[in-house]
Amino acid sequence: MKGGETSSGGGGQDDSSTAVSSRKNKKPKYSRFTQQELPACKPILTPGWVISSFIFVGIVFIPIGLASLFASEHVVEIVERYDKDCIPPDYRNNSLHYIQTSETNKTCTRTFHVPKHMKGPVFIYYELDNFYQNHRRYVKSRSDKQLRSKASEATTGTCKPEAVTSNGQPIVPCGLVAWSLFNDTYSFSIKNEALNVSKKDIAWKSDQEHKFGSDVYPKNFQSGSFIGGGKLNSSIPLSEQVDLIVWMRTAALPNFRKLYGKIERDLEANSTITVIIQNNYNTYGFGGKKKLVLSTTSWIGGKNNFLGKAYLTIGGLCLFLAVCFIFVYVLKPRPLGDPSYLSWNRNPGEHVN
Amino acid sequence: MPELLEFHGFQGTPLSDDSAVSSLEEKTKHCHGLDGVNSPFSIGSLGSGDVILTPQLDSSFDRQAGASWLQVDDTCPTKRDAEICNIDWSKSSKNSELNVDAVTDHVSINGFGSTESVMKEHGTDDKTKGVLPFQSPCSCAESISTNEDGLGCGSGAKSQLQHKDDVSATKEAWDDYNRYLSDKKANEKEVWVVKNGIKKHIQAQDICVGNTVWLRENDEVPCDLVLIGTSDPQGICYVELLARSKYGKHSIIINVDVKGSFVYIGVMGGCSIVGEISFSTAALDGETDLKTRGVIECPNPDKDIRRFDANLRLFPPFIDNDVCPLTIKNTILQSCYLRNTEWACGVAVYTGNETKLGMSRGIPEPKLTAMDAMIDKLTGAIFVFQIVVVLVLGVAGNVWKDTEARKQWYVLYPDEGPWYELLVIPLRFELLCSIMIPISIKVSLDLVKSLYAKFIDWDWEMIDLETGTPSHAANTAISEDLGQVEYILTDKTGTLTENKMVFRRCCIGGNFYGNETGDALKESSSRHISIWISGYVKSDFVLENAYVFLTLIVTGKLTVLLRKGMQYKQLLNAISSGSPDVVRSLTVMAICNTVVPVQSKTGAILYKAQSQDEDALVHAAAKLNMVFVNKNGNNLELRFNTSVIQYEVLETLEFTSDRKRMSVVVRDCQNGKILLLSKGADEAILPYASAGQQTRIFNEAVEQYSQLGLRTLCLAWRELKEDEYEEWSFMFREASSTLVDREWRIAEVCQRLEHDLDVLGVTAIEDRLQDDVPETIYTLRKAGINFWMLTGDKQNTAIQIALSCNFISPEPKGQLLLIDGKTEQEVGRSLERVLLTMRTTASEPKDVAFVVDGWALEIALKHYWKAFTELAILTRTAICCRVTPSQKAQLVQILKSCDYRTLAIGDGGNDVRMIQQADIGVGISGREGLQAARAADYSIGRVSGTSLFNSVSLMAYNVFYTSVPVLVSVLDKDLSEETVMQHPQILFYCQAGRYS
Repeated sequence: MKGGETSSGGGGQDDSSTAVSSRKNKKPKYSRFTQQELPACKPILTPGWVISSFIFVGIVFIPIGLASLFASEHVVEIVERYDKDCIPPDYRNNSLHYIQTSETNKTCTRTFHVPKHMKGPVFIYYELDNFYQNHRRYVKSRSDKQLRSKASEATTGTCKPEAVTSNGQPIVPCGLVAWSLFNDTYSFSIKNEALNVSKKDIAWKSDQEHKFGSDVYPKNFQSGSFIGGGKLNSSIPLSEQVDLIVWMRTAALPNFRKLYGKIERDLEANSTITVIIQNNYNTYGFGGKKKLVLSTTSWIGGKNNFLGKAYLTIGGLCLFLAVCFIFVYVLKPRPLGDPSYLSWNRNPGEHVN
Repeated sequence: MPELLEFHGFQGTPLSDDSAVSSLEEKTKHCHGLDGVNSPFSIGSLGSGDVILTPQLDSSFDRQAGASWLQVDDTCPTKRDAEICNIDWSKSSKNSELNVDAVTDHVSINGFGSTESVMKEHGTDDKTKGVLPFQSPCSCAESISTNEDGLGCGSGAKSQLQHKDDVSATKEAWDDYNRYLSDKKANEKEVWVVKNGIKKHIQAQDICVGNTVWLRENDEVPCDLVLIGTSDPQGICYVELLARSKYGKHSIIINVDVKGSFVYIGVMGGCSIVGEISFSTAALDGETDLKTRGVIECPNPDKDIRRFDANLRLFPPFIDNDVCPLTIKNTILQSCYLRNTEWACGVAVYTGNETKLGMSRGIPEPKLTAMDAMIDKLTGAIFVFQIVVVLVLGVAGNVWKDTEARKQWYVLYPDEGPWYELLVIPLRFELLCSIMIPISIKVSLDLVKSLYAKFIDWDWEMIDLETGTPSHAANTAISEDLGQVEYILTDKTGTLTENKMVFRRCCIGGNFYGNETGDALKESSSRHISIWISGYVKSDFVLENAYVFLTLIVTGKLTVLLRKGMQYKQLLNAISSGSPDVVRSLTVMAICNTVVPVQSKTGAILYKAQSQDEDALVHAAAKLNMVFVNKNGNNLELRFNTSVIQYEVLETLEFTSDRKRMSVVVRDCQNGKILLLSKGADEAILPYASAGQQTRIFNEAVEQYSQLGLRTLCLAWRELKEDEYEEWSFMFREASSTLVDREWRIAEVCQRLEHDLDVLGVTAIEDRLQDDVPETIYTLRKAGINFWMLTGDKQNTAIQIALSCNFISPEPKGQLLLIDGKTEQEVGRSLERVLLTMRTTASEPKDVAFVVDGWALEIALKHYWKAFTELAILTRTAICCRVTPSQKAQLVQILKSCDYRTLAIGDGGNDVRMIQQADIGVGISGREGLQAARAADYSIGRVSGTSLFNSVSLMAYNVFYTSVPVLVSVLDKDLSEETVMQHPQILFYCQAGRYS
């Protein structure tokens, strides 16, 4: 009897112990990663947290909004649309013909009033509307290599359809963008005293130094039968053609302003400014508008009320919500993490609460 | 450590009457109830080599040279219930190694049964169900011709490219390349083949059916062989199923008996029906000059690893009946390794992709998760949307260009464009919109899923501490579906219970041993057994909108169990008083089985049992002083008290799930009497009791034990007269060698012997519940997961277990509805009634469960499919008892057809089909082998344990582009494990996630 007992019992243990030892090493290594025990934190939106963060946002946003609004209000901006008024009455119904022939006199004189004192420098912009500088065909039609160095003059592959002249000479600068260069000009005067328009620093410095070569001179430009926009003085290198450089920085939206120049002096309030405009640029074909803009700047840039209003709205909303939550919290408090509020613990009947 | 199994081959002269019961064979069979079917050999083991022993020649025969022909016959066995065999080979094929994946535990293969077994008439196979389609001869011929072309030859590791959409192409390409390399290696491996008496080296891919392959120790078996000779004088060969699986190496050794000399056989390919394909012959081993020829008739290749119903004919017949049945026990299957045997040779019967192994390597239907399906749908919708957008915008763009853009002079549109001009704008929009279809989401999700799967592998909470088996996610693609499970179908034995059988009580000769609290076995000294249990099911869920991954973990905590030994004085007293019934019962317990005792180095006896029930009985008998000491061939040695009793096993009437009993015929060596010893389920034994015997007391005992949730087995015996045995033995041998319906014919013949039994007693075995099972089930049920228990056990036992593990609530909270009936009408009425009750109680907060047994289920599924489906939807709990593996799979099918997510858990071979069928299959690498685990998408060491619904991860769905977001999403836990544990209802949202 004893034999039987030991044999079976001992046998079993023997078996299992070897089995265990041979398999133990299969146990995966411990690490917090494998056991999914990495430390973590999880914010819980308690009333205190929510209310104080709302109040914080409100308190920070409202002053910022007020400040930007204030700054924007101090910017003086004069916007003058001239494309319609610069068409002589005879040509009102045929503006396209007026702008396209070289026979008509394109000079046009406009005057406007300075409402407030404008502290210099006063920036002059031209503003185009409904002009798609972002059009796929248009925006691609340029050759940055050619603009950069004289050696790549013939690199006009991307410039179609304004790449070469009819006899195969490369156009410098090539492409639709350069070809459609804006060419209205303005000259200002106050009380017959001419105002000097400075073109200094209106283009990006990096563009002038790196993207437009100082040894690249315009060549064959606007020599075709169909003339797009302005012409260039072929004795001035591209890096000095600031108007071109400004124009070549294409706008993303169909309504855009580009810097024309600066008036380096203050303009007195209530003075009247006379502008003589050479109205050369064709926006009549596609119903675009041309505007002349004079503006001062502040620390937030030009005149822009949106930023200040947005800050004020968000800040006000947060404050309002904070107040609402405080009311709810005071009037109907409820304990945090009460399982009886879980959907499956709630009887449909008690839903009234 | 390798587990040794013995196989008996042909031993002694085939004719001799002593039948050795092939021990292994019996093991597999004996099981209690249907459940017991579980582990035939571990089929899972891939490599179960089928060893076929050729009959061993007696030396007197030896010098005969004859032309031997093997005829290959095809009866194509259908897939009987042996779903066990459907192992998912494809999984194994992922391993770049020779596709041999895991190994399993015991494989027992009997050689040509020892003498006796040869003589036995192995009757028909298979049950009567009549599902044996024959394969057309053509197909057979075809298959064989392939072989001869050499295409099919060689080791079957041909690579199969299977496309899996969830794995990135690179990974697949890498896998494929590795597979290709290993295939190539396998195909070009040199093997020895004996041709015309000369050993030659050829490449493995050139082996043809009928070649005699000669293997040395540690060689890999290149194809399926019928064993004809080994170096072992007893004709045993040891085979190791080597698997390079993640589970490590397990080795299994198979013995085949072949006596000292060899038979050389040529195999003729082709089946008799098709005509004969002639084939080479005579093989030789170095020293022997014996030549024999023969023909093997074998079935068409199939994937049933459990079955090889073939016959061997030798020329000239040196056995009086010229046909020797061959079974799977005489075969060595491909991919095994020869161990501890100097050499062995065998005849190739299946080669290439037609080996049992090759055939089993099916391509399982890929499982799609709910989220995959959703992504597919959404992708389609997005695509349609994208096309619409492109068309609308394309047309608008062209119109705008013609009306507006031509006015913009600075754009310089040409008046005439090329012919494709109209297409340009739509195509540009197509390009722009192509990012609408988020390709990266697929990739990122795959990454996330594989990380999740890795987490499952790594998780310490999911390691079975007892065996150290970590969980393993074999299918990395479906982890998020785990959280959406609505139905869990679980096996009982080994899943809810430990499948660690303990002999508890018995009723012998009208006396009950063991009482309410104690066991029939009680040791005087107390033993402490500590059991560490852990296990779990982990799942992740996806809430479709927010990509919330919930992880459900049913995890176990460590439990230390101290169990006190029991005293069993009462029974010992009965034994010492020498009550003959008790002694006989013990004899039955000790030898009516397939257990193999193995002497360990320390002198202790280890029992290798395939069934836990048998193991429990043998151990119990040993404790009661009836020690099963040794098994040598067909001779068994028992030690009772101090005396040694010897028996010779004449026949083994194997256990099948249809017969529900097994018997052995033994000769008592002391007095020469022939005894029939049987054990089996009560309904398979008690009706066959001899007319005079009162079985009422046993019926009561069975009833009482099953009330307690114990598994019962009845023991019986009968003394046979010599001539009765002779007559029967002839029939049995005839049945054993039939090719058609062998199983069924054997069953019929067995029936003729098993009657007029003298019932000895009833044993009750406890299968203890796993720790924390009730808590787990309670939590899961609270989470809205419905449980179905599918078991092969008796109804009462099943109900008791269900009650004790919270499956169903006792009255009055719960209500149990019974569907029964023997006829179609009865079942129909009963189903109708249950359905009515179900509907009326649907609104009440009452737990209603239904119980159905296998027979009624069969009818219900056949004739009342619709009603049963409705019932399935209405009910939250169901208990199905006495169900067969295929019924288990059918039930899964029903639930799936109602669009429910199903998870099947099981541990045994009989659960494999269910596991493969379910959306998610979880296999437990338990005591019944690894078959279930290998078929499953997830395998774990042990289920049970406290359920812990672990964490939930939140995925921000706009951050899928790099691996950083992947990490973020993986590491993000939405809810802690504790929270989910407290409120399992959270999982409702996960289930609902798919519908929203």
